[in-house]
Amino acid sequence: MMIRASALYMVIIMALVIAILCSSLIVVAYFYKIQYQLKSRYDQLSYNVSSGVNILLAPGGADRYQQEKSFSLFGGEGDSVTLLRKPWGIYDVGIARSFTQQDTLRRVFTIGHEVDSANWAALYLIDEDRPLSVSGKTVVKGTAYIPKAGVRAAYVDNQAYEGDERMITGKKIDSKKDLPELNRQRLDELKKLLSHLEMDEMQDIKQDSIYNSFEQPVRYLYFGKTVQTLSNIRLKANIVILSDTTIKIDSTVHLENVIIAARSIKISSGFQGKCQLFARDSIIIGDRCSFNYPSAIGTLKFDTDDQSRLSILSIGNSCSLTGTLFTWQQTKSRVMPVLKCGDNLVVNGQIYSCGAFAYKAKPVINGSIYAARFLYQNNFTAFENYLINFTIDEKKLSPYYLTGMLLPAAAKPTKVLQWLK
Amino acid sequence: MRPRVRASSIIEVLISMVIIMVVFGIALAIFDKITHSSVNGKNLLAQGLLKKELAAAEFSKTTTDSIYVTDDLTIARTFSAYAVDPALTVVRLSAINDKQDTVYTIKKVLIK
Repeated sequence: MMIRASALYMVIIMALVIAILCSSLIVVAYFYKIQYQLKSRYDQLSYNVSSGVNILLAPGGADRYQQEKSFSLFGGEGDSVTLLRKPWGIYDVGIARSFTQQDTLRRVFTIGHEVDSANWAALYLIDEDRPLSVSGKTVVKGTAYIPKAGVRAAYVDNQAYEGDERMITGKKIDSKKDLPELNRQRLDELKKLLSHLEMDEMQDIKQDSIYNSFEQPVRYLYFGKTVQTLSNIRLKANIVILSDTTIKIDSTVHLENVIIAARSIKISSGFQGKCQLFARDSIIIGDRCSFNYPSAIGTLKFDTDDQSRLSILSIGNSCSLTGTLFTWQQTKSRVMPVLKCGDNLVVNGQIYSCGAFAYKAKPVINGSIYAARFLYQNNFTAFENYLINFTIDEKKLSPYYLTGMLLPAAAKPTKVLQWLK
Repeated sequence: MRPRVRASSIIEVLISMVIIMVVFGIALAIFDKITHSSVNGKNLLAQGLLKKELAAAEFSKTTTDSIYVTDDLTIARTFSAYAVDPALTVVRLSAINDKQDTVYTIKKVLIK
């Protein structure tokens, strides 16, 4: 039997099929190559931006990149970076950008210092030629700098000392007459923030949410000499609120990585946020407030301020803070700043009180406390340098905790504290 | 009686054979070009190895040069000072194939 062939038609159809297969193969290969090149460029940008982050974190990064600088990392093509490191309260913010052709990769982050174990103290009480007394269920774990007069158990408020018989579980070192100094450079930065230049005054914020990226210039909200109450607003990143008088923050305000610098700051009960608060006169915080990491709250009194005014940082009952709490004054005077806390304060971080640290019931410090004096007050009597039902435990501080540049325990190595973008 | 079927002529068959050979030839050439010009497995392997090596260099914090052979690739790790800041160092990682061609390179600035 003879089979019908039509060989030419069949070949044309086969050739068509092969051509379609070949062209699809070309398209797939082209697409794969494009994606591979994209991934390679992204990887390259990623290595370059990571290099930029490392350059900013290096010890010289703080001074060298205060102004934005663009340069080639290795002197070749496609390895350009732009770096900037600027102070943000007690921390720094780093911005690293790497770019090649149309592609840009950026990293924005907060920079913190590692804790310097040589200068770290779970407890530092200055030596005023009198001992430290402990009573009730007091726990002190970690290195303690205490007066030469030592530590003794005391019977206060019908309570004997019930803790570990060593009283301080850790190394005991004689303290000095003064607290270790805060970082001068950072204090100058905070002074600049508090004594800002004149700028356009705002009467009210009309938006209910403001976000300002750290890659943009700082957005200042200046309220001048008008007492301002902020409520029902969400403020996020690279925003500085300034006031020459009192500023009140309602619990309905959400602050994230925002700085407030004013003469006086009042925070309503129930507030929650992540912010840095600096005041010349006072900061009054209501009950049940929670400040998340990294937050910093402090009062600063410079020689140029009215020395007769008492500087006070008052915290209500059941508050918690992860970060730094401090009071500072430039020159020692009779009017000492007071850091006053209510019942059940929990601090995961550091406290630096260059005046009295006044407390009520059961403060818990998971980290470190430096104080010129402890003041415990019940309904009848005030006790100086008594730790009563007081917990200080440096072991409970997260091993990933990073401190700001301000405090004495800041070591030179810096790390990324949080990614902002 | 069986029906008579029309068959192809010898010319038709010859032309068909030529066409099919040409088309196959072109297809093979395209396939060869694609497989050669596109990313090959060795490149990807080199990238993976260098990424792993970079992570190890960052973690170990040591700045000693090293060289080793794995999966037909020679991995070289060299450190050099970074001119901008003495606290920094540059790590250069290269994957070299058996023809002594550099398949992939990574350069990164690290904190000492």
